[in-house]
Amino acid sequence: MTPSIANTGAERGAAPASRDDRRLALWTAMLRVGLLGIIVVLFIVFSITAQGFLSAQNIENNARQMAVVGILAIGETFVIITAGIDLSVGSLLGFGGILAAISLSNDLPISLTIAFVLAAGLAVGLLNGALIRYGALPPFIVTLGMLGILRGLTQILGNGQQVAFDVPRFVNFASDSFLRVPNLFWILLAAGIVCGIFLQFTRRGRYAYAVGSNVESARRAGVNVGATLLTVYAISGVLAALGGLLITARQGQGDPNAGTGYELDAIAAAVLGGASLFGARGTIAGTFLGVLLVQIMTNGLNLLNFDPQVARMLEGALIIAFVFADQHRKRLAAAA
Amino acid sequence: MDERSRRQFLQSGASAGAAAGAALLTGCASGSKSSLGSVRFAFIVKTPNSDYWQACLTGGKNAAKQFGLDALQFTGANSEANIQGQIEIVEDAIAKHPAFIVLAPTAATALVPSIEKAHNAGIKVVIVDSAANTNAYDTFLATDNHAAGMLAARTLAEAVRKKTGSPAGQIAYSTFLSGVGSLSLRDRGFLDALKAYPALQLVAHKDAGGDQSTKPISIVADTLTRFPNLVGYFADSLITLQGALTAFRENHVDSKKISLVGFDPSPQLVRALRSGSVDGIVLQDPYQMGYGGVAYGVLAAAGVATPKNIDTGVVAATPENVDAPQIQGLLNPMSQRHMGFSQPA
Repeated sequence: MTPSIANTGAERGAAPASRDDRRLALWTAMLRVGLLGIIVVLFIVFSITAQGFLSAQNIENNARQMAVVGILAIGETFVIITAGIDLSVGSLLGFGGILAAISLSNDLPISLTIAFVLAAGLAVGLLNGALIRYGALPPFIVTLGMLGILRGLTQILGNGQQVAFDVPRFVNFASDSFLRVPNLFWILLAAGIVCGIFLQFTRRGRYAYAVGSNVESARRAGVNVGATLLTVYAISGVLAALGGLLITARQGQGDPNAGTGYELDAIAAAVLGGASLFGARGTIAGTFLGVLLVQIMTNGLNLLNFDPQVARMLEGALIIAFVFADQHRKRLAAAA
Repeated sequence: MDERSRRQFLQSGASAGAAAGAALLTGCASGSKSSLGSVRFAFIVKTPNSDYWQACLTGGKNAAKQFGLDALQFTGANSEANIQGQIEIVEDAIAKHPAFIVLAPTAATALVPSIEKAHNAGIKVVIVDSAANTNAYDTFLATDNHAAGMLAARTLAEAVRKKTGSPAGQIAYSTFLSGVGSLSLRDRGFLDALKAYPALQLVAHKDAGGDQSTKPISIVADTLTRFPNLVGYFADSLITLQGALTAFRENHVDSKKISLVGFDPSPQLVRALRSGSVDGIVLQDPYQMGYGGVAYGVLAAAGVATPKNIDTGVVAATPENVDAPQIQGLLNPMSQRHMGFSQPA
């Protein structure tokens, strides 16, 4: 255990950064090793106990099943790093999904459908960001409101029903694989790599951490807070819409209930992956591991014929345990 | 009685009854011709968000139009898992004191206090689709879900027999949500009828926990992984059947080896039925429940003693019979061809 770690946003904002930043990095790494450790242990246990766990088909299923929530969780990570929250992603996914189904059922080409749906996600994300920054409203309120607006709109657009379309090329994309890896997972990987590079290596990406650490100091240091917030909510919006496209392809129809509750799955994955709802902490790699942990746990318990609800309970318990461990170490550090 | 004559009997009964009810009510209102318009009622399904419930609502709306009734609302909660939401809607409806309520209860026990409250307030209660654990209602129109589950088991066994030569091997099934009256009955009927096929071995039962998105897919995918020699799968609702179909597609299941049978149609499922990736869809008659629900509500409100239980019947659609007129009528309830009624203006 490392002693004397002070890494709350305020403290880092005030103190010279290098030493604390190094410790912060160490800290994050430790939490990630902890997460990775649990994943490895689960993987070994399930490999031995759960028949079929290591089969190529099962690994493919896991890769496919984690893709959509994973994509949402990446967007959520950006928002959480700025000390915000985006509760609208599940509804936006449903909205994007129904837009896709309606477009396809009206014979819009696949390429235009994709462009249209992603543009809608971008617009919603920018609106969220603008209301938060320029309307000076709490992210929780804005995105909670948007959750309701979009779900209602989705039900109205779909006339409360599933929207059927018959475009095999679109549907097959979701069940097909490239190099034996499901297409859905390739999309998750691509989104994760692009977003990870953006977050770690670009100025705008680093600004997200600065804003999440302390808005006022960030502003004084010359960070364009408005543009940063618009960017993170826009990313979250576009990724949620992308998730909607993928889920509609996967289900082969538009479902006005698609994505209900996914916002909480996305937040849970990010938190498991080390993101802090107080801001300034979180990585794409960590979030990816968070999603992977939940997926492996759910799948393994399912194969062992546990009630699927057991996985949910364990996921909840793990979130509390992780954050508790995190806080506890912080307290120890502060006392030392 | 064969299916068609049973259906015609039911229709003529409902229509004649409604006419009689109309006459009675008209009499009460001293000959005024528009008095049926003063019969107010509420029509509450589990959720309007599915083709199934839209068919039920359409039946109710058409009956209301044809009888000239005054509907307070045609509504439901935002999902089939939202029990509290439906209770609130029913309580609000009771407060408006309609002549009758047509209700498809989301949960068998949780809605009982509301149903009894309506009954005690003198509101006639017609329950459709799913049972409630109370006697405080006037008429119950529903699929005999136990018989429907048995039909599903026989359809699955027959599909397995066609593909493998004998109804034998491992099978599994998924439930949309445990504790839902209609689904539990279907599942029990399915299990009861399975006893006639001792060589069909049930190896897994999965509960989607009311999830309408991807859990109905993943539980089937995981079952396919765990039991690679599965010969049959049963899904007890539209959502779980669609989930099973998606899991089959993603796992590249050979539809020549595994049979899939489930409940309730959607355009995607009917396409899959035609292509042979679904082997049977048990069709209920939600339009009939909606139409009959309103008709019997009118009768009960007029003081006619209505039958306590009415079975609206089930049929299994298969790749062989999908184009038969009766199946087509049930697959396209909005077309109402099977009802023999003209489309109301």
